[in-house]
Order: sequence, then structure tokens, then C-alpha cells
Amino acid sequence: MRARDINTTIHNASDNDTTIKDPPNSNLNVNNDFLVSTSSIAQPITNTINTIYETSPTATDDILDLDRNNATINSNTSILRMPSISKNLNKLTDDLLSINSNVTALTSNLQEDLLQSIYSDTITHNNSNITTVNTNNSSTSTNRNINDAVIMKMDDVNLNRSDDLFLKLPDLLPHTVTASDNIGNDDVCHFKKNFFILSSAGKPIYSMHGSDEQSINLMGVIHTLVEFFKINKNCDLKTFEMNSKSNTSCKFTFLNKHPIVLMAHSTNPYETELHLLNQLDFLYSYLLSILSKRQLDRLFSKRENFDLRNFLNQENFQNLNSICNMICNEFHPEFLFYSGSLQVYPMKKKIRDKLHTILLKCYVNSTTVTSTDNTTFTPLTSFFYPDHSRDLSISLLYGMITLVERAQLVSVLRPKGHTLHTTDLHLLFQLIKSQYLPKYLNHNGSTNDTGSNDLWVPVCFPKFNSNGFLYCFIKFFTNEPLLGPGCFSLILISAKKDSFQRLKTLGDQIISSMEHLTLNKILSKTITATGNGINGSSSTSQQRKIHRSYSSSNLLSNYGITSNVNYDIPTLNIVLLPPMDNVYHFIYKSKNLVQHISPPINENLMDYYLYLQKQCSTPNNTSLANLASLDTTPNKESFNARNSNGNMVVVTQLDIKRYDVDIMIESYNDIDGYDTTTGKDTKPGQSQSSLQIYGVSWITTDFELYLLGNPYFLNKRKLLQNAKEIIYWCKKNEPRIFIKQGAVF
Amino acid sequence: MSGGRKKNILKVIILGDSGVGKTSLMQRYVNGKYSQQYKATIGADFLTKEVTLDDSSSHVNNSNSNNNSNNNFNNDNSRTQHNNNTSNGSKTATLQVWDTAGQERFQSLGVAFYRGADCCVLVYDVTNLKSFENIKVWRDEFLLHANVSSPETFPFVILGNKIDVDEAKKVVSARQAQDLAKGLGDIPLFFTSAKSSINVDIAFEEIARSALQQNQLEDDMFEDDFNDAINIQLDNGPSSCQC
Repeated sequence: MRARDINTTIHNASDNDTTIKDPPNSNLNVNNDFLVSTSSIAQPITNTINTIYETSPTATDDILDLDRNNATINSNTSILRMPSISKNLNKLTDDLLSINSNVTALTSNLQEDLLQSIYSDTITHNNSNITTVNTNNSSTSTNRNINDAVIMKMDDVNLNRSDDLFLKLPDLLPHTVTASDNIGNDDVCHFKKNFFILSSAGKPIYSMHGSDEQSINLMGVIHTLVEFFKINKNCDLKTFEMNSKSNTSCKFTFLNKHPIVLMAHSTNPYETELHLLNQLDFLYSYLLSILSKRQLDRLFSKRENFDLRNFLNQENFQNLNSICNMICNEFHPEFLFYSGSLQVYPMKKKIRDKLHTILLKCYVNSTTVTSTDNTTFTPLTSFFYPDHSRDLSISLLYGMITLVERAQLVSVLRPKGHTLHTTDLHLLFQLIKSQYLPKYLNHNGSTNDTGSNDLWVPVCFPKFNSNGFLYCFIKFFTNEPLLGPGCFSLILISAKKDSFQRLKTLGDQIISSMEHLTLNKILSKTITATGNGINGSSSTSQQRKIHRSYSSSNLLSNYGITSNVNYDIPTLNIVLLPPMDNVYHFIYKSKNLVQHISPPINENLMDYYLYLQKQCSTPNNTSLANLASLDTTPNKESFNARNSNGNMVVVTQLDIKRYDVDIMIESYNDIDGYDTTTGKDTKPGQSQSSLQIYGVSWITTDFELYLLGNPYFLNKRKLLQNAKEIIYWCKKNEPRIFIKQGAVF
Repeated sequence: MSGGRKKNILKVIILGDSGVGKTSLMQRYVNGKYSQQYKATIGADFLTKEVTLDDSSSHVNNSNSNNNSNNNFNNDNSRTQHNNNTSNGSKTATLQVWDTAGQERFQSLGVAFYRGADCCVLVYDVTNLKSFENIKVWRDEFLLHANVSSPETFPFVILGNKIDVDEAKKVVSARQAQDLAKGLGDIPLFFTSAKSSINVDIAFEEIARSALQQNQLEDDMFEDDFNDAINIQLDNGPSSCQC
């Protein structure tokens, strides 16, 4: 029977029992069995499920209409059967995060020294590029150029690699069909990853890929599976997983949030159930953010046959698409962490403090204006606040400044003792980026702020309170001199539907305060720099020395100031990245602050990081104590994880074989056999070469570091040293890269 | 997934005693096929089919007792028949037909499928009196578990199947059936044969229509509710933060 070589694990929510539960009376086995035969169901899924559940031969003969004519979809008849199901303990808990300091190395056989040298050459070339940019700034170039250079340095270390052979790391996983390849072939299960949302009655709401017809059938199967577990096993089906014949693992994860059911299908072996649940929860959170839990329940409590699909509008589906796309195709380290995480816009502490001060001051001012109403109630105030002359509170819950494009938090204003959940923030940032910003741009044509395009949107923050809506005042602005390039948004959140005017007033105040700040700064700097006022020529050597890089031509010209006035770089919001010699990329997360930093990069390294993370959580990896002894020099900051916990160091290896210069074909070297196969995979006849990368994952109780070394950099000791340097840098720069308190009122 | 307003999904449940021909009717309707063999359905089985409905057409009346005059042996072209019926004011929908197990021992999951149905089809066998008598039982069973908002108006359709057999074998008269259908609240009634493809398409068209009506009727009901639902205020202010 085919099912024998299939590896099935069913995770059950309520059952921690690892033993197989026998039906109480085997004669009435039939009651425990459940069979659903489906026609016109997406074949792969049925195959899948067929293989999971053994079909007893008699039942097959009895029921199966042997009409397996594959010519039309409708003639496919298949039978799913669920006999007594072995329940496996769901081991994937946050416990795995408690494993300390793992060093995972991804290696393989080094083939071409030549390639290595090419590669390391370009890297050093890049680095030197960056440093020269730095030094050159002081002497040459127009302001604009310098700006760009600075941006580049901040933004993307890897941008320069574009001509290189390894301009991007190759895909870690075998390439399966992507959406674009799939136009002719809409078979649902050819996709690497797919998301499905349906109602508890089995009516489809959304599917990421696949034709309507297919997904409707598939939803029926999902519905059946979920209901089966609920009714017969009295538990929620969470995940089942299997290895198909082609050795690709396939995972189906369910999230049952009555009246909504969500399912993720993933072929990524490195993604765990928790990752997928996290992603499903994010999708569910989005649905709640537009509907709220209360309304959702009301819709379905009236009638379970409600067709939510037709209740959602075009925009909602676009957002679902963009969220799914973000999860599947873009690099978002947030989804690496089970407990969520937030990325903060790196900036000088002094500037961030100033922002906090501005937020707080404006907020306090706005409240005092209204509180004086009582004593000095004038017609003028009642004119400004017609509805609220007696309402003293401005009803502000949260205030935030974010960098829109990268969904990074710049500054936060919050009531004492309250923070917003990372999922809520992440969701809001995503909505702002994918929905509100384009809307705003459409209205405006450009990002120039005219002040008339403020948004006022109701959003339900599911983790804050899934039953009600909060109202967000959103204003887009740019402030290059103070914050650096990019479009920023000011978000003011209130529980009161009618507080738009007040929040708008507050918002305008905040933004003009920030502009004042920059104006003052520029003026003082330029005066000290040139000594002779605003219009001084920029050719003096003194000036050259001082203003290394920046101009704010836009702003200055607004105020009638010539554009070639520069000012000093230390006042600018520029945070240099840590030393990244030998390091391709890293993610550092502070567990206390639930924030992470990773250098921006325009390639999706998620699979690499998922792999790294998986290595730490796989307990039966060989722990190489001798590798741990590599870093014998105790770090002065005592980040040395070996000291803090009896941790283990894990080495596994990954072969990334290159069959051709252009086409990378990767084969995943089984983890269990990592000690042997190095070098054996290269067959002499083929022009095979391998890409070798070391990865480090270092997890302690207060931080997590995941790091990818440069390809072909094979010095573990050195890489660990680099990892330590990065950790040290992150600790030292914590005030710059993370937000500890924000402005608290 | 393509954008735009999606087609309605109509969930239809077929109920009835074991062996009355539920699966056959569904197969006949969706695939245009009939199998002589009897195989008990275990659990449930579902098929989907696109339907196009003429919006303006009136309610089909509830009896079609003349079993011979309406024969339609055009087996393989059930779709074209639908297309002929459509006009400009037509609506398309996707029928999700759930065929449940008639045998009691296979019904452990039945309840799950009842929920969220848009229409319920009750089938009996004209040669089996017991199956006819059980129609009422099935209806009550459905209403008990399906948790529909207004049981009085929920659409049912009764099908008297196996109408192709010899007159001598028939034990349920058309008269009896009509009385029952009337008694249960003017439920549409059709005499069908999955084997000879009699009235199957017409019946399912009626099923789809009443399902769509049910679906849209409540759509309108809903609109009113939404307007006040959006005014929901935060329950308990900032203190409800879960962090």
C-alpha cells in the first residue's frame, strides 16, 4: 500500500497523547471512520489526502466509482478516509526558543577557488566603495549625490552586488512553480504555498492561488476535515504533514476561528507549524481589522450560510493578495519570530528623543488647550472646538511616526503601561503601505504635503480589542533634514469616531514643530558654518570641512534660502551599520523589546533564516562541543552564551550545488547525513560546483542573532568573532536601533 | 484569484432514506451519468456545478405528476439545457451540492454539513412507502441541527425519485405526495428519475433558484444591520489592552 512509505504526523490541539488511540470496539469501526468522496476536487490534494489515510480495500471496492477518467475534472472521483489517527505530540512550542547559542554552519565542498576570489573581491570592493563614499563626501560632489550615497550606505549594502555572479544567494529550496509560471496551469497544488479562507459552513472566501472552481472544491475538503476532527475527535485539526514521493515535504496547517476557517499549504520544509499559524493569524487579523470580531460573529450568527466573499470588496481582496504576497515572496523577518517583532527606524538617540519630546509636548498642549476651556471659555475656543468645548480629553490613544516604505517605527506616543501588539502594528503598517499610501498618492500626484489629504480610517486592532474600531488619523509627510529621505506617516489613534478635527489639529502641530526644529537647526548650523549668514558661498575650505554631506534644498528653498547650503553631518539622522566584514546579512532581535534590526536587503533570505532557525530547534543534531570551544576568548560583555546556559552548538551542512553558471540547482543534503556527504555529491562528469555559506544562529534569553556569512567565507572562528562584534554593536547602539520607552503620557 | 464580485456559492444538502437515489440524482445532474450499481455513501460527498438562473422567471409550481410526458433522455447535455433558459437578467451561481449518507450508521458527521445550507432537498423513493413517510423526519432532523434563522421560510424541495419504474411498483401516489408537500408549507415537489433523467434538471433549477432567493433575501436583511454595526465604540477603552 502506498500509504506505508508516507510519513504522516497529525498534530492535535487537545491531545498530548502520542499513542495511537484504538477505537473502543473495533466492530463498529465504521463509526470512527469517515469517508468523503469528492469529485472534481483538485487532484493533488485528494492524492495527498488519499495517501495520508489508508483506504481499506473493501471500502474502496464498495464505494469507489472506478471512473478515473482524468480527461475532465468532473470525472475524478476519489475517496478520503480517516481511520483511527495517530496523534503526535505537538512538540513545536516556544521551548525551542530557549535553546541557547547555537552555531549553525552551512557548508559544502568548496569547488572553485577562483569563484571565491571573485566573490570576496567584489565584497571588499563594495566595502571600499562605501567607505570611499564616506570620505569623498567631505570634499566633492553636489549635494544631491551625497544624499544618494548616504542613502545607499544606509539602505542596502548589497545593492552593489548586482553585476556579480552571486548577486543574490540562490534559492535555498528547489524551484517549484510560481504564480507567474502558472497561468496555464491553475492546479492549486502546484504552488509552493497557498492560503485558503472559508466560512465554517464550507463556503469559500479567499484563496491565494487557484481557479474558483478548484478552490470551491478544495474548501469542501477542508471543511470536511476540520469538521471531522471537531465532531469525532473533539479537537481542532492543526497540521498534517507528509512527504510525497518526490521527497518534497508538504504541510497543511489549519486555523479554526469559528465562523472562519483558514488553511495554509506550504511545501517549505523549514517552515514550522507555528510559522504557518502565525501567518494565518495575520490573515485572520486582517479580516478582523476590517470587520471586527463582533460584526463577524453577528454576520454569521444570523445565518451560517452567509457568503462573506460577496460582502468583502475589491479593495479587501487586493489587500489579502498583497498580504499573502508579502508573506510568501518578500523578505519580512517579522514572520521569522513566533512572538512577533517590530523593526525600528535606526536614528540618533538625540533626534529620536527630540521627536518624543515634540509628540509629548504637542499632546500635552492639546489637552491643556481644552482644559482651559472650563475656566476661560471664549467664543473663539468654541469656534475651534464646536462639539467638544466641554469634553476635556483629546481622546488620543496612541501616536506614531513610521517610515512607510519599510514599515518601520520611528517614534511612538503612548499611554503609560500600554503598548500596541506587534501584530496590530504590523498590520497597520502594511495597510498604510499597500492601501493608504497609494490612495494618498493618487489624490496628490506626489508626496508633497499640502495638508489637505489627511486620512481618517476606522481600523479594528484585533489584539488590542477585536470587538471595536479605533479611528486612525494618518498624515503623510517628508522631512529629509530631520528624519532622512523617504515618506513618513504620522498616525494618531483615537477611540472616538468624531475626534478627527482635534487629531488633525494635533497632527498639524506635531508636523510643524518638526519642521521648526529642522529649520532652527539648519539656520544655526549654516550660520556657524559659513560665518556670514545664510547666503554664504559654499566654496570656502572651512565649510567643506564641516558640512560633509547634507543639504535640504527643498526645505531651504521654501524659505528662500539658496540650495547649496550644507550643514553638519552629526546632526543628521544617519546610523551606520555595524562592521559587516565576512557577513552577508544578519537579523538581531532584542527579546525584551520585541524589536529587531536587519540591514535592508532586496532579496528574500527567508528560507536561509528559516533553515538556520530550524537547525537550532532540531534537538537531535550533533552538538559539536569542540566548535563551541572555538570561541574560547570570553567576551567582555558576557554575551558568551555558553556561560549563561548549558547550550549546545549545532553544525549542520547544506549543499547548494551549482550545475551551471546561470542556473542554480539546489539539492538539500539531508540533515541526518550531514557528516558524510561532503564532496561526494560532485560527479566528475558534471560541471558542478557548490556555494558554501556558514550561518550562525545565536539564541540567548535576551537576544536572538541569525547571521549569514559571505559565500565561501569558511572561517568559523572568524565568523563567530564577527557575530560577537555585531551583537556588541547592537547592544551598544540599542538606543539608536530600538525604542525603549517612547513618549509616555 | 480574480477580482470583482464573486459568484454566489449556494450550499445544497440532499437528504433522504438510504437507497432512494440521492447520489444518483446528484451524479445525473452534475455529470449526466447514471450507474446501475448501488454503493452506499459513507459520510458525505459533494459536487459543484455552475448554474445560470433567470432572475425574472416566476416560481415553478410544485407538481409534475405526469411521469411520462416529460421524459428527457438527453443525457449528456444538461448544461446546454440551462443555457437555453437564460436571458439577459440571469444570474450565475455555484451550487455546492452535499450528498449525505442515508444509512444511519454513516451519519456521524451529518450535522456538520447541515449548517450553513441554502436549500435542503428531501428525496424519497416512489416504490418505498417508508422513505416517503420519513420525509417529515428528515425535515425535522435538518431543522433541528441546521440552526437556520427562520425555519418557516427555509427552502426545501421534495423529490419523488425512481419515477421510471412500472406503475405497479409505485406505492406512493402523486396525490399523497402533493398533500404532504402542501402540508409542510407548499414545498415544491418534483417526480424524478435519475436513471432516465426525468425532471432532474428542472428540479435542480428550482433548487438553485430557491437557494439563491434564500441567500439574497437575507442579504437585504443584513444591509440594515450593518449600518448600526459600524458605530461600535471601543468597549472599555485603553484598559482592554492585552499586552
